Amino acid sequence: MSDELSPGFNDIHASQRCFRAILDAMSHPGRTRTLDEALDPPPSLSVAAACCLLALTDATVLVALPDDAANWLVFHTGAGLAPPSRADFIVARAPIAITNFSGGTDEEPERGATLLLDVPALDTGIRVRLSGPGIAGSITISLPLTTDFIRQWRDQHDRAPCGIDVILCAGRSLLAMPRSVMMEAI
Amino acid sequence: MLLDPATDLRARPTWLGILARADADRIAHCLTDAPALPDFTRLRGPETGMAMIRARMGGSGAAFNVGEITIARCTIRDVTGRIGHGYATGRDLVHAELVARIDAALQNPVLQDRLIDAVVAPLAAEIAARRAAIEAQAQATEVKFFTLASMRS
Repeated sequence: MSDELSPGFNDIHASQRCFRAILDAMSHPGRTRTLDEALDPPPSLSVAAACCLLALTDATVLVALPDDAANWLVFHTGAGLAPPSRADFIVARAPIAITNFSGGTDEEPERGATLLLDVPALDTGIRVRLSGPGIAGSITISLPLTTDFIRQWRDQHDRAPCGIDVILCAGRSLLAMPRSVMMEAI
Repeated sequence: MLLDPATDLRARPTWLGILARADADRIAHCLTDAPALPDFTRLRGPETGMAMIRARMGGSGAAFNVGEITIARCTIRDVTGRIGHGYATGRDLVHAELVARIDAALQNPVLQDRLIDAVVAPLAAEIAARRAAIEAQAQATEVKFFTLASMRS
């Protein structure tokens, strides 16, 4: 177990820079941000996904992620591990069904889970039109999602303000889709 | 703790406790007689933080928080892949890192004997001597209370 541990952030500013990048990405859905932190994450995580986990998790959250990354994250942030249906943060390598994830409650919608989709590339896949808060008018981009995923995304708007947020990660880049974003395949 | 000459210095919790109680200068001094510590990478820290000290009322009653204490900690991996942890009270980051490096080296059978002899054993003896001196001092000023039985019936 211990042989595969690699260093995390070496100072608090790295964590703060990542938090800022995620905040910016969440405020501008569909816009790609690049992280330039020096980090050597476990093989199953991209740098962007590893940075998100280091910046956002601590001992009060539950995370579902690949086994080889679990020891690493628990060592650095003390996060708890849980199956995806109970987790606050879920790491997946491909678009998966989001209907099982915790969407929070009407009293506490902020408890909705965040899905980190760790994919090979951000700008390939199906063409989608994004609109909603944070987007002037609408934008059309390619995202590595499936039509199934887009249908589930549309369905979760019926539960607003509950729902899950998504951060797409690839290499050092990330792109966020808060639950308020409207997405349609074109 | 540690007064017993039979204490096994080769137990990891024991050597970590001894190293944590020494200070960085003393450890560095002991290391001059020891084999060089392997090169290493820092996995976490060295960094300072707080730990909550817990205790029980009367030693066995309900648990309560005594207060927080400043600690320094560090985790390293040496070139052989061994992970070393160092925790010590106070803010001495050099101390925490030294403890972590020695902890990693002590897990290496090739280095263990020489490091125990050069570093852990002398430090354990110092701690035992310090403890014995304090106990002797306390013994000398001990007041023995005894009850005078009342003669009245």
